[in-house]
Amino acid sequence: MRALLAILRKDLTIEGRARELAPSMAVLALLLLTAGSASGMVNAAPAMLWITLLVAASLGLARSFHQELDQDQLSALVLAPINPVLIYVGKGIANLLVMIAVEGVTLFAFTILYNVGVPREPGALALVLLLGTAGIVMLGTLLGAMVAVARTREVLLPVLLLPLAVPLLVAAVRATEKVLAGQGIAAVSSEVGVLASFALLFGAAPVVLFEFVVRE
Amino acid sequence: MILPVLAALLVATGVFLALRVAPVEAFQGEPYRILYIHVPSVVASYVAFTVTFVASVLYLWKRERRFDRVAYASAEIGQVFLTMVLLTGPIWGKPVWGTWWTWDARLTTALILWFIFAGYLMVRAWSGAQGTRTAAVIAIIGFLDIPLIHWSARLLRTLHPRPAVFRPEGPDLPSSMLLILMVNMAAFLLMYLALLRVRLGQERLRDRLLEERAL
Repeated sequence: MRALLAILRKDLTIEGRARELAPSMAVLALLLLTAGSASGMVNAAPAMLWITLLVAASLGLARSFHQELDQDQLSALVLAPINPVLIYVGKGIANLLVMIAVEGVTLFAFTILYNVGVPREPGALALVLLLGTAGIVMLGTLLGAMVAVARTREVLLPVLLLPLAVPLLVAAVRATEKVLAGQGIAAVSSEVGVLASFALLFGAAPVVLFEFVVRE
Repeated sequence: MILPVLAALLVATGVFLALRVAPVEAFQGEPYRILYIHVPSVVASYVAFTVTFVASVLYLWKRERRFDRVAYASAEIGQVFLTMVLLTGPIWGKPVWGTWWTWDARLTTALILWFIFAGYLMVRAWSGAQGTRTAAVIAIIGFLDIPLIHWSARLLRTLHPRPAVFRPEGPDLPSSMLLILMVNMAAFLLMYLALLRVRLGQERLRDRLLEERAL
């Protein structure tokens, strides 16, 4: 637990001082939303929202492990007498917090640019957003560690993330559509089922697989 | 040597049977004959990716190079068959459904699988020796993702026919068609094995070359 908190604190301190990920992700997200709104995607608002979040995430997460390669920090972390999964969990929580911050800005712009009001069941929307974001971050953090050493990581991460995240995208877009149209949590139960299974799968897979990704 | 020859002969026989001997389908007419390529390609590609999945698990577990070679070779061939599926499908769909594409569960799964393994092959091409474990992880999570892709796509509507051959009650095809389909399936699987052996030979050779150069 102490190791986990130390890793989390390290990642948040780096992000707080360097401010490398969150601002660039947020600006990219705003640009994508603006481009979508300007080119008449207002009728496909939920799709635009989730594609924006996925693309912004894939930009940020591609870099999230890369900074560890400077002065070979990742090897030092792997050598530390802790369970390597903690490196993943710590980085994942830090990425989740960054992503939620980016999402706050994105949602604010989204309501304005796409003329969306607060839905009748805000809780349902919050659940869909949270599950979707958690799924993106869990998968993206694992992939981020995998592509960190690759020369072409900025291209590779979206190429790997987007197809794997298709179930999440389909379910999240449909659920958001329904909730924004005023339907309740009961109407989106199968979509929430897909989102929860996705989060479960990519929450569990790294526990077994992360070690193989970082081990020399 | 016998395997490629046998595969080639059986594929030629299968094509001849499909085009010349198989009866015309009552509703679809001639276009249905693409079935004899489409379905065996699907089966061959899914077999190939299953082999990749199993070999990837074994590679991470046992850390033996030979499992990685099998995973790589099989993924590449699976991708070729899957490309064939995605090309023959729309060609068949256009005259019969009136559309090239529809977001059906099976079509979606096949297309997304193609993208996942495109990423797999890109990792293998760009990450060198370090990429083998990364690639194995992608193959594993990609394979585990398939049920979810299928499930999510079922939220969309469908035109694709229900499975006619692989279903619990047994095949629902007239025997004249079923037999020819089986010949083609055997031919494609044999072709898969023949190609797999060639690719494995090449990879073994490459490993040996790299070893000797390192000495």
